[in-house]
Amino acid sequence: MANIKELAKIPERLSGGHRLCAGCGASTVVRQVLMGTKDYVVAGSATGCLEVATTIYPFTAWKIPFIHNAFENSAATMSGVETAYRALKKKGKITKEIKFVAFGGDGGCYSDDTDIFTENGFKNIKDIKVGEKIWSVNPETNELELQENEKLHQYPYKGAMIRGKSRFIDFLITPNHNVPIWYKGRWEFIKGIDLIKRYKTAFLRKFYWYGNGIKISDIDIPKIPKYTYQKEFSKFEINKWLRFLGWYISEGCLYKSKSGYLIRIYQSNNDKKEKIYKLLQNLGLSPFKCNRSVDFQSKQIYEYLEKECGKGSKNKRIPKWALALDKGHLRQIFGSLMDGDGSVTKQENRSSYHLRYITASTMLMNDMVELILKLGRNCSVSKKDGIYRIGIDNEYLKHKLYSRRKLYGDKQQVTLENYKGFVYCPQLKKNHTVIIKRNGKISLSGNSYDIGLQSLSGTLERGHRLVYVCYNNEAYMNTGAQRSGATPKGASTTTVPHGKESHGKEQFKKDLTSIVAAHRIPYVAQASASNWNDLVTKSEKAFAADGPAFLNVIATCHRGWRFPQEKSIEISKLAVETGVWPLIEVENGVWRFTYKPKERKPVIEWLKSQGRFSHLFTEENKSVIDEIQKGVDDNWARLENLCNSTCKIA
Amino acid sequence: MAEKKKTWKEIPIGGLILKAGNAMEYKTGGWRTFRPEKNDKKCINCLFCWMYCPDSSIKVEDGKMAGFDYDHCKGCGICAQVCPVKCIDMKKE
Amino acid sequence: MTQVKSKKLPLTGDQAVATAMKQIDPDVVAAYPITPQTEIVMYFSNYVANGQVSTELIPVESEHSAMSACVGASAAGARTMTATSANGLALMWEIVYIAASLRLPIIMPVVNRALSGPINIHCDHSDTMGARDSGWIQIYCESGQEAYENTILAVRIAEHKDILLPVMICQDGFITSHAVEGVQLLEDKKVKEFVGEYKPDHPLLDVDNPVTYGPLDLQDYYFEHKRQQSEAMKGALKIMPDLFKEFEKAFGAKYDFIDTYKLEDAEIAVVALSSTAGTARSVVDGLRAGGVKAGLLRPRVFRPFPKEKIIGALKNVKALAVLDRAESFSAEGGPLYTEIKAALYDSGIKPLVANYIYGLGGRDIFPDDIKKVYSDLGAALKNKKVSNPINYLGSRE
Repeated sequence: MANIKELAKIPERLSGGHRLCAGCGASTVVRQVLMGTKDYVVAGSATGCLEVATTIYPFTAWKIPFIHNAFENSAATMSGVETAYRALKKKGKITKEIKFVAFGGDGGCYSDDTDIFTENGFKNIKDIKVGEKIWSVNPETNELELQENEKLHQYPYKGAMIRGKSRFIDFLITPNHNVPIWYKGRWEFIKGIDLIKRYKTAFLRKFYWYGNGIKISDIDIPKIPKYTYQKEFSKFEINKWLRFLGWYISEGCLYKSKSGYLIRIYQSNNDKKEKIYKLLQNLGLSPFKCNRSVDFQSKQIYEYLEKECGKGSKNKRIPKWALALDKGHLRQIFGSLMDGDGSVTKQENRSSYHLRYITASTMLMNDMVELILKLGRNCSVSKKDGIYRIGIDNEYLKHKLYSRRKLYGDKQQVTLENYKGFVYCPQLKKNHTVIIKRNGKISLSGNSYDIGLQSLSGTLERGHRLVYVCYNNEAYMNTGAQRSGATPKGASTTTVPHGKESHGKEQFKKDLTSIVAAHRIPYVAQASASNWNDLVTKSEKAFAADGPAFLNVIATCHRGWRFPQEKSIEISKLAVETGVWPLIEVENGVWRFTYKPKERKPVIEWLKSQGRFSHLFTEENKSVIDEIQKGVDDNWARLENLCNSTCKIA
Repeated sequence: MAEKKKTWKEIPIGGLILKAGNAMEYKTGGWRTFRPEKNDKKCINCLFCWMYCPDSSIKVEDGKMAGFDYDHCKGCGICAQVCPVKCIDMKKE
Repeated sequence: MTQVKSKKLPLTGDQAVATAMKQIDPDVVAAYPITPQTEIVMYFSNYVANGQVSTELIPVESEHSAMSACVGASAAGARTMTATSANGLALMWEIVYIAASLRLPIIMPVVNRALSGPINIHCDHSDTMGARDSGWIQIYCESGQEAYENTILAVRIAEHKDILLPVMICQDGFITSHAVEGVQLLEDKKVKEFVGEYKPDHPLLDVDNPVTYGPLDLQDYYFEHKRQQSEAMKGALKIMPDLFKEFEKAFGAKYDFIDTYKLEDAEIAVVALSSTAGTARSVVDGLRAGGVKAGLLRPRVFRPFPKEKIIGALKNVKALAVLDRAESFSAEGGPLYTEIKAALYDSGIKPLVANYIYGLGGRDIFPDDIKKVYSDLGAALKNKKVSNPINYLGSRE
């Protein structure tokens, strides 16, 4: 659903001052289509009204890069532009996300049990909101960074999905999903289906983190109104403080009683107890050793800890400002956290150690995962009886998924699994990688790269990622309203006019939408500028498609169709309401109506409204009107059949 | 357009137009016979006029309809037709 | 010459050009196969499939789309190449003109083949001669070695800031393209250094500085845009010698607008393009041995037409025969003949000129045929006139 006020904020991409007729349907269509993406767009157009009137030298109404080549080759031309983009992007010469759209007259997801790592911890993918910040990895620098979610895509999906499963990785993705892999020393994206074709694929599981660049040496503690004669603290040295926080978060408790505000760090191990005691002493907190803990009193610190790190085992968390620091600082807090609730087990017959962290707090579990990832390690999480166990992996640089090798009697690591349900994908502004968790295993994966008849057919078949828009004015309008394959039955044009022996065009118009849908591209739709929300939504889907997308949009022409110029939108609405121009979409082979009028108006209303059909209203041509109505009815029935037979979700 | 046309030496090669959107310098407002005028009191800021204008000639500021770009409005009358509260009149120029 | 002499490899003309393309490693190639260019596309696609180049290859569905995609890619800012022959060139004809008018530095090896009809897959120059008014720079190569080296040189010619015109590098279909010769390859690193990086001024993909390519020109601007193209061609005549020198410096191979053989004191001369010149050279040697002052002129660059160089080379010649491997159906002879005659008109020299149209549709030309041409020239000198200005050498009359 598009919000008109939000759309009005997108800067105009087609300016005024072009010389299309007053009341032209084509420019409204172009303006609405270009509202379908906020990314940079490069547009191309075939020779026609649109191109000719918007680029009369030395003026151009295009505020975006624009190319016109020749009459029948806008798809081929834009294929070249899109390929140049991929080639230069591959070489690092271009980093921006750019969309491509060709205007002519006559385009991977996750299963619903995947969690995404957001700035507020892991969330089920269904619950990701627009604007929410999500953890992702920059493929150019391998650094962890937060990226805003622009949109959550969701589609019903029935069919095979690619399952990747190993000790460290678990994902269930659509075959066209973008998977970031480690190849020849850098990130590359391949499709999910390619994982099956490849013998082995390497995944990098170590990411970089440099903090927000701010160097801190001390941390300030907020003052509180003084309570008795207690010591007032103003600042602590950062590393010591972080170590203290780590102890508190793992082993600390807060007690309030008549005698005061107590902070207690539990610890039975004497060596560790000594360590804590010395640390607290160093900080000037006047600690005292107890049987199983090290305690000290301070209302100021009590309130600070309650606010920053939480009170109670289920509420513990690492303060956000601490997680934003650089690795050196993070190691301090990590060290004491592990000393507290962490456990180290050495495996028999191996020199490797297995680190584990246990907590009952969901917030802390999320924070620990963030901390671990930032320290360049990886982990997996399991939950049992309300307790999270985080298994911290040894520092493997890469992990390989094998598609065919059966290791030690294990099942294949990359398989096909049948899936029926909805699939989701967040659309990040950049990077197109997200951290996912499935069945406890955490890994990096990709997200939708969102980021515009012979020549069209070739372009569709090759799978270029561009949007082709047919602004359909049902004739060769630019050169004087001559008949084309898109001209409807009964219309009078200058090359097939009505006359004593002719009622205008004999044949029904070519069903370009079905021809394009037969190429099995990700997204095909029919739209009308009169239903702007439907058009803009379809345009958004088209720009978001992972492959070619096609929009067939009716563009009224008051000169060729002969009606008063101000009725442009009214006429296109009439086309929709009479069923002459059904609003449909075909998404990955599933046909559906996006709008059905409650009751289809008789087609005679449509024919009455335009001069190009006026010759039909005579006794001899009456039968043509009946044939046209039958044509519309038959087409409608055919579409309903297609919707029923391709509908995947009951 | 009375300005002197440039010589072959003065224009960019390849037929390129380097100033994006410079069609704004071409005032198609001169095409009008009727001009749209809005009754501000009735306007509900639905922005339909902006969505349907073929000439990008409806100004929008802060989500509100802020007037017509008379330099480029061709007086086609679509805005008046689509306005749900009929607050736009087409007056003879 | 610090060039390390690498071994000569036995390569066909097509293979050699594909190797040049490999070493250039363009960003985008959009090509459609047509005999006898097919091997270029096949070899290159192997390089792509094995990751030996970083090129994005678009397997387009026709030559029209091939050149359209090249226009799109080049305008977008990518170094773009394609290749074709005969009817492929004819199918992309409309876009070939557009590519030159948009001043896009597309490099296209063309393997010369006869234009249909009737359909014929063998060598003649009707295809590129048909495109001589398209605004492309055209270079005709005698051997696989020359085609290889000139493909590399073409990159610098096309992308030169004061030229910016697309270039066709022509070689004879089957005769050069499919015959194996020893080709001396240039060092990968040196080729990369020589071609350098493509730095376009106004790429479409520079989204922060949007530009419009391909506007509508009314009567008031079209002429000026074409005028600019005229100047660019004239300018190329002045700039190309510097690029020839740079190529010689980098690789030791010397190229010029023309190639001459024993022409300085020749009285009779034959003018021929591409591989036929090779046959003619052996005939010249034979004649010289017999005391005849025969010579050969082989123009290499046909567009822009190097009038000064050609006139300069012919200044002592008294009778010349221009061999055309294409008919322009002007009723007045072939294209090379008409251009040379026009160049001679106000040159101050007035040799006798005859036209021999030969080799259409791959009809072989033999040393005996060329010997006959020289003997005709000898007779013409004696009679002080050319008996037949337009001749058809090798057709059954």
